[in-house]
Parts: sequence; C-alpha cells; structure tokens
Amino acid sequence: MASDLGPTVIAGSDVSVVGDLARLVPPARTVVTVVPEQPAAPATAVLVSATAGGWDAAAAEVERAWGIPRTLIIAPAPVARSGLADLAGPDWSSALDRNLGTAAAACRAFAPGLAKRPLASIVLVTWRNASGPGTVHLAAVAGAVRLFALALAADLGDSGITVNAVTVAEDDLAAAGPAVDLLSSPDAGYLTAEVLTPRSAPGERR
Amino acid sequence: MNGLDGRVALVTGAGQGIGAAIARRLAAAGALVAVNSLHADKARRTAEQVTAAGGKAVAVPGDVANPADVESFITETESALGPVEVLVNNAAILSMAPFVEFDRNEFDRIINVNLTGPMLCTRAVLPAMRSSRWGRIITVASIWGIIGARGAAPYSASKGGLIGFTRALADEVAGDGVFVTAIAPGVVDTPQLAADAAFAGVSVTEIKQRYADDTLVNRIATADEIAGLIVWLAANHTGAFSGETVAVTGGRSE
Repeated sequence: MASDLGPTVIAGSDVSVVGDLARLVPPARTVVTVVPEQPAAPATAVLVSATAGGWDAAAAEVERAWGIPRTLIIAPAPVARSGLADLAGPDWSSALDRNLGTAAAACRAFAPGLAKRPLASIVLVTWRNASGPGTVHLAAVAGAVRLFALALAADLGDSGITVNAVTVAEDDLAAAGPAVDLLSSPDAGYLTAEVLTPRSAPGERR
Repeated sequence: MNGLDGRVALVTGAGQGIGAAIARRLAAAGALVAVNSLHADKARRTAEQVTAAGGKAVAVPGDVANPADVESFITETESALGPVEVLVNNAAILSMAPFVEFDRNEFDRIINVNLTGPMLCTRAVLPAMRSSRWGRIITVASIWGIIGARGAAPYSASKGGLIGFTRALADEVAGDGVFVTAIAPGVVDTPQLAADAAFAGVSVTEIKQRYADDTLVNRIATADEIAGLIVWLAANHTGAFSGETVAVTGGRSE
C-alpha cells in the first residue's frame, strides 16, 4: 500500500521510542517501523535481524512491501545515567551502539533507495544535552548523532537527500513531531545540515 | 492542515523577491494579505498579482523605519482587512563595503530598516494579537546574522539583532498565544544579489555560481522555497519553534 509520497520509515533500536515517534506522524501518511524486536502493534513493522546484513535486508523488505521511502526518521534510544567511572564500560558501548550505530546502519541501508526519490529526507532525532552529573554518555551520544547528521548531509547533498538533526529533551519526545512534520514537508527541500530544537511548551527557556 | 484561511497577514518588503513570494504563498493558503513596500508601485504590482491569482490583497506602501508610516500602513491594513494576525517582517536593505569605509549614515539606514523597522511593526501589531490570543510573527533574518559576512558588517549586525529580538520576544508573549520565529536564509536568488556581485567585482551570474558551490546541494535557494517554509511555519506548528531561528541554507559552508 505505497502512497504517492512513499512511506515514512521510523527506525531505531528502542521499540518503545520508535512507537512513540510513529504516533506523532500525521495519520494520512503510511508509517513503517523498523525495529530489532517485536513491537506491540506489528501491523506495519519490519524486524531487523541481528545478522551482518540485517539492516540491508530490512530496507529491501520495506521497499518491496511499501515502496521506496521518502522520509527516514531515526529514533533515539534511552541513555542511562552513568558516572565518569563507567566511561568506556558496557553502558558506554551500548549507548553508542543503540544510537549512533543504529543511525549509521539504517542510513547506510536506506540511502540508496531514498536517492531515487525527489525531495527525500533523513531526520535524526536525538536527545538534547542535559545538565548535572551522570550525563557524559548522553552528551557523547547526542553530540555524535548531531555531527553525524551534518557530515551525512555533506555526503548525500549531491544525491538530493536532505539530512537534519532534531534534538528533544528526554521527557519531551512529543516536541519532535512538528520538526519531523516540517522536515518531511516539500517546503523544507532547501533545509539541510541543520539542527532543529523544537519544544512542546512555547516560551520555556532551553 | 491550513491554519491561515481568512487570517489577515501583513508582509513588509513585499514589492519583490522573497517578500512578494511570501505574499503570493500566504494568499494561496487562504490568508488576506496586506502588501507593504517602500515603493507604492511595487506594492501595487504584488497585490495585483495576488488578486489575479484569485487571492485577496491590498497594497499598503510605507517605510518600515518611519514610525508615522508604520502607524499609517497598519491602520490601512486594519481598515481594509482587519487586525493583523500574521506579521512577516521581511523588509531589508543590503549594501556592501569594507567596514571602515562604511558611511555612517548608510550604516544607520541599514540598522533602521532591517532592525528598528521590524521592532516598530511588531510593537504596532502586538496589542491586537495579544488581546485575541492568536498571533504569528515571522522575521526573515539571514545566515549572515549568525556567521557574519565580509563587507556586510551593518547588515550582519542588523540580522543578528533580529535573532536575539526573536528569542527575547518569544519568551515574553508565548503565554498570550503569540508565537515568534525567525528564519535565516542562505543565499537566495533575488535582486539583492547585485550588491554582492558589485562588491566582489564579478557578474551576478558568477556570484550565483560561487554561492551555489558553497552549498551542499549545489544551488542557491529560490524566493519561493523560502516563502514556502515561512508559510508552513505560519500555518502549522509555529509554537514548537517559537523563539527559534531556523537556518535554511542548502547546507552552509562556514
């Protein structure tokens, strides 16, 4: 059931966050989630196997069943608070893998298809920096994903794919909705290599 | 989704370029548009284009840097269409020279038009927006207001000032249902490129190519693209971006 605009694909390593982002997409659009485990509502979900070619196979499955996507949204995964003593420990590897690693794998798998569509876009949603102790992993993940987005925009500029990052507070994922809506709009075709910082409550200081 | 049907919009500097494109786009989205320009003939021409395309528009010429003019053209807008609900601060001028050679009067003129003008217009429309608890103010800044540009110190300063103004005002009025956003375009294909070309000592065609080469998408923006984004922000989720400056550069080269 491919729409004229192609499906909106939401990919991530955390099923819950992917599901929350999917609910923010306007209902008129076809949304396909790409996740590593069975979600609660699997009707339009594609599972990523833990094999070397897992993401490539998932992208191929999406294109076969729903058509070439026009928008790829990368969902963030929660990052545990960890102190400096845990830096480079298992939490560090997990946080980077579930955020940056997933972003890289999904973008690599879907970019060739996106390049075949006019006005294709990649939106990397990540966390806004938080203050206080225990946020070194969060800062590293958020910074890495933001800069990955900017570099990817340069790599994909010639192919016509726009790439942008959206940062949201950990307790305000809903703020990503308007930004994703904007960045997947045809009116945002000249908007690339930027970081948007929307918020749900206007007037609040960041 | 269209939140602009029947809304009254005022676009400053709409006699040509981005402003004219914004006026056309707003009207296409259902807004009733007041077209401001310093030049009455240009304001009339844009208003006629809007009307010819089936929209509703009136020409309200005047100088945004002149408080009496601002009061006058906003009164004209209210009489013809109703209170302003969407204000697009677009009017701006650009001239280029090395900073030490900039004539003081020219420096002041740029600041007055580009920075003081939007403040005057905003102050004039805010009371009605606050009392109706609905308003959208979108200001056209510039990427040069973020990164600065050689030969454009006063222009860069004026646009940087708009970005700070946007942030501060957004916090003040968000509780009244008024959302304030800026966009910072990169290089746009408008008549203002002639000033850049003259400063660089090259043709307009050459300057366009140079700027295009500096983007990730290998082209400069069209006025219609920038207008489309502004109208999207006015019509949809401006609240999420209130206080923000959205840079639209095709991938900036810094």
